[in-house]
Amino acid sequence: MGTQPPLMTRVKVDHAKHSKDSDVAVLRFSGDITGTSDNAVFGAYRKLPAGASKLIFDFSKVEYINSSGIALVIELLMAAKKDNRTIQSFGLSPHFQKVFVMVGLNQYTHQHPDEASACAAFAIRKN
Amino acid sequence: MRSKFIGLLWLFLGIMLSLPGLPASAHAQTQVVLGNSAVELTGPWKFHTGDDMRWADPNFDDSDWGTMDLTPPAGSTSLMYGTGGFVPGWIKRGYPGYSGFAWYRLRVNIQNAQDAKAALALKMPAHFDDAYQVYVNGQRIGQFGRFTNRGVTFYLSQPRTYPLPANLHNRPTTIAVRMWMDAATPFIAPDVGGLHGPPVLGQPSYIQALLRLDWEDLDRALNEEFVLSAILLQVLLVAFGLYWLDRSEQVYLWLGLVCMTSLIYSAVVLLGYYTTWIGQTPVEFLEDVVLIPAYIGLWVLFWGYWFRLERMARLHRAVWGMVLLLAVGMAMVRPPLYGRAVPVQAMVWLLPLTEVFKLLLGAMLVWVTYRGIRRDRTEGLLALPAVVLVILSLYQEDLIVLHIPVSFFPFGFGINLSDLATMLSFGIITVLLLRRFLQGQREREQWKQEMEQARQVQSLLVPTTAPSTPGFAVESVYLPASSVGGDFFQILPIDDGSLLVVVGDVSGKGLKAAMAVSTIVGALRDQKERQPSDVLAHLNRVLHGQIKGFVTCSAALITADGAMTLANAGHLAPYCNGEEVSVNSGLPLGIVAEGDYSETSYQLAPGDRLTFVSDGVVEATNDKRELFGFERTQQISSQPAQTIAAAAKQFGQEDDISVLSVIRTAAMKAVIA
Repeated sequence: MGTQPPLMTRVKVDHAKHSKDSDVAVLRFSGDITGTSDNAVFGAYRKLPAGASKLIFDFSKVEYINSSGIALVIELLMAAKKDNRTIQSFGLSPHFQKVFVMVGLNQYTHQHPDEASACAAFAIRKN
Repeated sequence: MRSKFIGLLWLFLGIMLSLPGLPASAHAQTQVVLGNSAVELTGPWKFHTGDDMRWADPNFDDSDWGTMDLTPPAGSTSLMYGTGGFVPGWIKRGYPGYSGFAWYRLRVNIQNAQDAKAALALKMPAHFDDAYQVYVNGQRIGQFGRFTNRGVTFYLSQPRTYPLPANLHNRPTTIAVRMWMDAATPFIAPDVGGLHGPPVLGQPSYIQALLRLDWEDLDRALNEEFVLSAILLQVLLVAFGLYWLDRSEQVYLWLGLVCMTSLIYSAVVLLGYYTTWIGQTPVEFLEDVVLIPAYIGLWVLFWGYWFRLERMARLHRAVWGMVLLLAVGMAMVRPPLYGRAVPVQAMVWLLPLTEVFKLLLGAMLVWVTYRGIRRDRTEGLLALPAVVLVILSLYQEDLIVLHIPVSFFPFGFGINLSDLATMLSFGIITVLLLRRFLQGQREREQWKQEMEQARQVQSLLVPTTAPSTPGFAVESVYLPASSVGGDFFQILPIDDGSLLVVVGDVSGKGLKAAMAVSTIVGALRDQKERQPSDVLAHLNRVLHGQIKGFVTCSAALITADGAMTLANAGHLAPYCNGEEVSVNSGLPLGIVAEGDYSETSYQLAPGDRLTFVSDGVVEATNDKRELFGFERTQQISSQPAQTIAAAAKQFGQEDDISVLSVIRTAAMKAVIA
């Protein structure tokens, strides 16, 4: 059996490396995202500066997202939408990119290959 | 007992001690006539506080010194040790609060009519504060403790004997004892200070016999410490064993930590009493500054977990904060800080402050118990005697300060109030632990029965056999990760010969997910919609606001001629003959109030195999944390449902696995997997 204890979820609030805009913030996820990641995910979200209207989700260090984790990401995306924040994402493995498409999350966030293109997407949207 | 022993000896004793108050020049001497025996040197001894090495000189004039009679008062008992024949120390005999050096001097004239050259030895009392050096006619014959220029290292009292120089018979002999007591000792008990019994002078064989008796006294006093250690070790093993078996029950861990701290404490006590490996200063530091505050804190937390209180994180913060304050406070009133870094006069406010910290921890324990009783009256009241005994054991030292004896010797066996209370409390806790364990077993059994009932209900709702529908064969496999699961599928034949297939997956698993499945199946059976997008919209309306999480779902309407209409709410796309069917996906059910689900059309030819899988298949995970993935799923998607499910399960099941295959047949016969 492959049942293993999930890796601890860590979420870090960071500045975007490829943007000088003060309203762009990055949430860097690492470990597994599961039903128990609630505090880590929303704790970090609450720490975002009030002026951060553009968010980038960095999933490059995420190993696994289970269905409860997907529910959590959906909840996070809905909360961001409610707060009038736009979101770009990068770093998801091809498997989870497909899962995101399946559950319709592309309505709320676009997937990008890296942080630079995620930052660039904000500029394109502005223009 | 020692007096009786001496009294029974055959040889006669004669001793007259120096009369106090005579001029130094007179050097009045008591004629001591010894046979083959020993005599207690009760004095009165000359006594003086302070320190001067000239006071060891036999010719020193001590006529203006005070006196200290070392005859045990009738019925006197040590408050701390509980031993009889106890001589109260200088604190209680005219020198309150005094610590540091003090000297005892006694002049004797030893006479032995039978053998004027017989060897002699001196046995010092078993209890004293805190270290001494013994001089005979100015010559040091022994010491207990280490006296250096940097200070005195002292140990817990132990009985000791010393051989005396030769040729002491029939001439004046001066015995001087240089005592030293630490500044913190007066705060341990109200009767400390110097010697707590008379030294005994006599022939070596008798002195050795007395020494053995003193050690036996100590053994009897510490017997219970060994018994307690054995009990603690057993409870420790049981507690950590139970915690190893059931990590969800924190109470086992904290009981184990309580036992471990108490065991370390007992080991330190025993090492302190039987060896001189550790000085009394580090022993007291370990006991009073580290172990006792931690021990009290651990008890509070143990009972917090025992009573299953909420907000344990807050209790942890409060307890460890107070433990730290108590530890700092205790460090200030104990050597080596007290008397050096901390001025002696600071004790006036430091000691009560430290006592307040300690009592506050006790108050927390009382509060935890009160909350426990409020939470569960029966459980709380059952545990109350154990808590009271724990409090008694934790606050024994405070009873000593209030002049309440804490040690007793019934039937010659030493019993300490704290250890007795600890043993009794552990006895009660063991019984309660057993009761809780059996109760837990019963609850687990009941839970298993309820889960089995839920599984039976679910098996009715999510059928393992598909209804027979002409023109279609259906294979289905459902492998929940636990007894019940969150995956579901429904096959609803329609009068016109078409088939409505609904498959889905509730986020999460277990009973909660199974309850959501019941709601969905109920809603599906009640509704009249046939169009897949309408079916999903209906389910979404039912689920929105009713569940935490979401439900992925696919609905497919297949007519008798193979025309298929498919709508999808976040569920994995089905496979047809090993190829993924392209579908438009909407958000899963239950997330937004008004879901909009578009439809995709597809044509199934006779013999085509349409296979739906849940994410338990693609997200099966092996030991290397590799996912089964979409590629492997696609490769085996044209195989029977049983084969697909078995492959995912063997790879590493993490979630509920469900596979549903619909085959358009010409034979019009249903196949049951």
